[in-house]
Amino acid sequence: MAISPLLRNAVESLEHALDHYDLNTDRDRKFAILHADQAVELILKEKVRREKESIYKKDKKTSIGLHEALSILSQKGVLVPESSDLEMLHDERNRIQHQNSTPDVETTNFHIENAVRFMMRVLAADLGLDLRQTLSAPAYQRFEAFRPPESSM
Amino acid sequence: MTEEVQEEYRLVAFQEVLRHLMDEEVGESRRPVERVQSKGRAIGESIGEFLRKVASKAHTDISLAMGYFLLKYRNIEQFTVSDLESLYSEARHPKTNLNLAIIGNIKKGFMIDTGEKREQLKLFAISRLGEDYVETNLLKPPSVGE
Repeated sequence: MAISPLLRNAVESLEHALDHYDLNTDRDRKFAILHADQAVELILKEKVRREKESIYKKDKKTSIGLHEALSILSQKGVLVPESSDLEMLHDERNRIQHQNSTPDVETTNFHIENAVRFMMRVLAADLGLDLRQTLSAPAYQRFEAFRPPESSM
Repeated sequence: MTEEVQEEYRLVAFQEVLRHLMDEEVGESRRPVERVQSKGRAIGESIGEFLRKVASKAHTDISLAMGYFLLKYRNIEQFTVSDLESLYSEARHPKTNLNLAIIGNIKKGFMIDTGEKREQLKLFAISRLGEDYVETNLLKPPSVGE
């Protein structure tokens, strides 16, 4: 089955987030959070789409955001165990976007780790994708680096 | 008489060849240490002091510099993620995902996966290319009075 543009874009955004995450300057940490949040939102939209629900608001001009996506999924009885962490990431994103906030190293670590683990769980468990087949080898290797300590290097 | 001379010659020649062979063998393993001595590094420098000289905040660069520190300052050629984590604690440096940083360094050819393990953890080593990158790009020359 072909991968939807939403998912492909989500993976690209998360890879881009990891590029900025590694560079670790004040500016790069901001962009790491912004791209990670974008990736999470796209994955949630993909889950909404798979529930046969529109990803557009009633005006049909703008698409739903993170909170609307979580709300639709909740109404559909779709469990997102990471929702509170994802909302915190979105709050951090809003502080950067609207208040010029600069996340510190530990805050960035926290959100990036949560975003990558969320994506890997959803792709594998919820969407039933084989990550080795779906992701490029470098992307797979980088995302795998975030597996919990007992199963990592 | 001729036989005696030949025997003496054989003994001297044997000793000479043996010395030459041993020099070659030991010379290779000493090479990294000799290179470091020529850099005039500060003996007993802490990881915190060392990291202050590193001109990058990137996690891949910091972890590479730590691998360099282990090799040059502590004569540890192979290290695990856990060894680097300990250095982060020792330096009181904010931790990161070291698996990701190591993958980044391997991709650039700055670190190698040795294929060996210690306590079930993979052992990595800094490559010669990685050493050169640290010395050329990451280590700031000391300021005046430093």
